Amino acid sequence: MKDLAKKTAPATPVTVERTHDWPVYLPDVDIIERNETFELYADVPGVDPNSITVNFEQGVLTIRAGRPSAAPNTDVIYSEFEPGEYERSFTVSDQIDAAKIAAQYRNGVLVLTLPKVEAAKPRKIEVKVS
Amino acid sequence: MYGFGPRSSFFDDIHRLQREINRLFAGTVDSLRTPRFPAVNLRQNNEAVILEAEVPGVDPAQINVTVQRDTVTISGSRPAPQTAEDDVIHRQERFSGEFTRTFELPCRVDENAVKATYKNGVLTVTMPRAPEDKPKQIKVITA
Repeated sequence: MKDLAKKTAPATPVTVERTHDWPVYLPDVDIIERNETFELYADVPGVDPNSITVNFEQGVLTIRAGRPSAAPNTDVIYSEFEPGEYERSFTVSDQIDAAKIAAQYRNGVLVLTLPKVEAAKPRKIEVKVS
Repeated sequence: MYGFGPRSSFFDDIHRLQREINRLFAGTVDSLRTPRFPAVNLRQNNEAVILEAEVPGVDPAQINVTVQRDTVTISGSRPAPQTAEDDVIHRQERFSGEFTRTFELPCRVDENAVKATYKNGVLTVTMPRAPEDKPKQIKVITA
């Protein structure tokens, strides 16, 4: 629970216009900076793992996934979520080694691991006693 | 001349405006909303009542589903990602902790035939309607 005040720059909002009319959701995320990596956890439940795309272009990381429509032949009684799309973009500093970004989807959570470039890793300099 | 032009264009404008407003607030309203975890949909047909809950990142073994008379309750807990001493949390939007949600069912269900499945972070509870409660189609006989 520490250091919540230290926020990164706000995420780039979804500004792309679309030809279709279904809603676009911003998935909730946790971003944790560890010694050698950043980890990003995004809630994208109910999507086909093959529909997830993670794109890194010119310093912007974009995650996208489709949320399929619900079972047919049923009447909706009560609804808090609808089919649509998830999309969210983040500006990533050049501390990140883009070639080594890894993504994993498990139980509806997309976990991205963004390794830092060598120069950005914290270093401890030993003081030599002569 | 504008006058009484095509009526659709006026409604198109309203529609566009509404969409624009929705888009404008899409991010903020969502993030200000009190966390309601998990989000739930309830559906029904002649055979069953189906509950779908978005519970990403929850171990299916840790989810409890109970059906009692005319209510269904789902509960469990979701852990926050593990952090070490010198890790920095830049964002923490995802819900973590204990959750419980209870819903009233629209009809009686067969408590012994309830099935729950978990896939890609979505829990689906299928509750077959009680035999005596299923809607019956009545044939109209022509004299």
